Amino acid sequence: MPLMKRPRGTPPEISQASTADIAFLLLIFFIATTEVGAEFGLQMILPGLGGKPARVKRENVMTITTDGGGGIYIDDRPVALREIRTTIQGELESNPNLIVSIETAADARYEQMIDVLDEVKLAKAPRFSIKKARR
Amino acid sequence: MKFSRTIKTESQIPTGSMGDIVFLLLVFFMATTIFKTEEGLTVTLPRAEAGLQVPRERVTHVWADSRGNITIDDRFLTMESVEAVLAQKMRENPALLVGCNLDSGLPYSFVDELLMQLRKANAINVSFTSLKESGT
Repeated sequence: MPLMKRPRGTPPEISQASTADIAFLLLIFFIATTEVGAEFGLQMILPGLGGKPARVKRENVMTITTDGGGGIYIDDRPVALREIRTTIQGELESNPNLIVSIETAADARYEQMIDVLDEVKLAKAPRFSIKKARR
Repeated sequence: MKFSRTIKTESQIPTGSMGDIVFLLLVFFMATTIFKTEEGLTVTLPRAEAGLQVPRERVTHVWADSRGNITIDDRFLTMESVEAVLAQKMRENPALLVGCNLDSGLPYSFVDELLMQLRKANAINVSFTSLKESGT
């Protein structure tokens, strides 16, 4: 094969035609490895251990108890899970200082606590706490 | 003056900028990619409607499966050692958010003990990781 003669005066060039191909390969790699599914969670702030427990008025506290059998009680009155939201919202209207205390029995499933916490969050209760039920 | 009319019917979509577009996409995906750094445990997460998106950059995960195994950063821990590990992490990043990936079938007494460990480590920002449930 005879040597191809470069026309005089034109500088030598590195071919850039394959740059896009390389970029495409990298792009496909990053698309494939990216985790699309975002993580969701119910966020809350736990009370620290240092401070004194705050004193609150009894009439401002609404206690939601979950027992091991799946029963839910608001101030000892049995309720359905769906009722929690409306009950809290109704109570919040008459008493904006409402504190919701979520008490869960030791043998209840974690899921049950989350169900209740979810409803409390959906009711937009500004103050709530979670604890293990006595008894 | 006479113009010679050239009739050309060639039409082309310019592909010269394709590489630029690809590069922009590439940079976007490179910047947003977070590689999965931990395996975690196999857990059945609870479902919740009110779950908010967790800021990935300041979260540390605590995993606990249905048999009560606990891991942080893929290291198996006992309940008592959770405090020390989290306290160390809190020193590195005081704004730490603890993402609790707990199995939905765990008894609440276990969760309560775990939260006590978190409080002892002063890791008070927690997120109970949940699956997104569509509103009913």
